[in-house]
Amino acid sequence: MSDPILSIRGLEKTYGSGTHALKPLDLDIQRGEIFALLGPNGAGKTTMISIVCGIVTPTAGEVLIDDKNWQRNYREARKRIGLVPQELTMDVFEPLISTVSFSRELFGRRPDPKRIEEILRELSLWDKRKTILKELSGGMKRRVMIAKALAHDPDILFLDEPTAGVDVELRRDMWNMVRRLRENGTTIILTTHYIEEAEEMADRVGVINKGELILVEEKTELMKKLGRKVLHLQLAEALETVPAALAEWDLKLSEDGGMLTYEFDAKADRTGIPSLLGAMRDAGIAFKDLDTHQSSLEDIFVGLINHQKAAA
Amino acid sequence: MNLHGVLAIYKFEMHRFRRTLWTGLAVPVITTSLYFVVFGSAIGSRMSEINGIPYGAFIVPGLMMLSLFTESIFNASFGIHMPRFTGTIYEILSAPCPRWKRCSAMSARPRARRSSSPSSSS
Ligand SMILES: Nc1ncnc2c1ncn2[C@@H]1O[C@H](COP(=O)(O)OP(=O)(O)OP(=O)(O)O)[C@@H](O)[C@H]1O
Ligand SMILES: [Mg+2]
Repeated sequence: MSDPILSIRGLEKTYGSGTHALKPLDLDIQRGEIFALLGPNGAGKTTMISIVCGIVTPTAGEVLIDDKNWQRNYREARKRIGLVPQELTMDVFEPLISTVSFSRELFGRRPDPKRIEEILRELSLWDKRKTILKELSGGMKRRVMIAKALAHDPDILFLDEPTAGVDVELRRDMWNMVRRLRENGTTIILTTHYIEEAEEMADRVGVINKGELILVEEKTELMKKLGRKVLHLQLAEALETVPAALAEWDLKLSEDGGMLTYEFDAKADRTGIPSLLGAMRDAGIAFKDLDTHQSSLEDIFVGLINHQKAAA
Repeated sequence: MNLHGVLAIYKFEMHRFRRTLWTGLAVPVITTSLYFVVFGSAIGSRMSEINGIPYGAFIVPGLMMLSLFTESIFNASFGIHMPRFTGTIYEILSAPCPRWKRCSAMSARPRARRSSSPSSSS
């Protein structure tokens, strides 16, 4: 747990226009993990990434890469970082393969056509290597951005919303590719709006809102800790109202009266389920089926943001 | 020393230069000859000599140098402005190169042009 490859210390950014995009922010990224940064639009995700990559200068604070300041050791630090930016920006008149080799050499690596071929094959871009970039589709351009970021073999990779505008199949491919990269020892930090993506891939999840990191947690812990469970009871006979005997459980009856829903806290000592079932038996209400459902990261996320709004 | 990086930017700029070779050469040649034709017909006949140098011998090299310098400054600034405008500058900004190196690699290109232009515009 205590081998951070990247440490962010008191990072703060106020843009010239006066936007306070990042409040002092601390974050440790562990070696070899996949870290997902979630947050609504304008939360400061891109700002944070841009500072680490040296595109934006922070107002205060520092970033340590393997305990070394990222500005004082910028040559080494930047060689180790790859960035896939949020926006698709590229030199549209260049052929694909030359932009990718350009990226490699720009980051101080020896030209290496073999490695470039490997990367392009992995991203299924090899057939298109001679194509001028403006003739590629959006999803292909997204892959070109990834190829450019990987071209200099970074061991820390930032993916700023890598799957925006990407079809389902390609998204699967990308997830697999990210996993393969991780197996090869690359540390990955990705931002996303798709919570299922964080749920699927990340080891740890951070939630950022209005420039503040409101939560950093192991994904499984997070799901356990904040996850509320829902019990659905499929009734044998439809009810018109929730019987008074069951009032203390705060049940919800579905519209057709065929299903009762009970929300409970899965980590509480007393979930209230045994007593509920007992009370139902006493009241003579039979059920055909029951199932419980754990709330997803999405529910947790929306809950957190709303909670913060309510507190403000 | 990130020599590979500097070379990469240089190669990239030279490649862009080759791609835009025709417009890059035609524009200064046309503007210069227009300048020469218009001013030559308007005031050329009234100017006989300047400090003992005939008008033609005075104005032709002058215009050539003028267009060369404008082109080279225009290209260097364009090479920096264009990526800023399209957003591709992010990559150069995040590269492990000190600023002065990036700038010199980008502006090395007009120097190359300067040496290739005179032969074609004269
Ligand atoms: N170059 C800039 N100049 C001034 N303000 C900026 C600049 N870039 C971003 N901001 C502001 O900083 C805040 C954070 O923006 P940022 O791009 O980091 O958000 P984000 O979390 O990446 O959002 P999204 O999910 O929409 O990509 C926003 O309020 C934005 O308006
Ligand atoms: Mg963003």
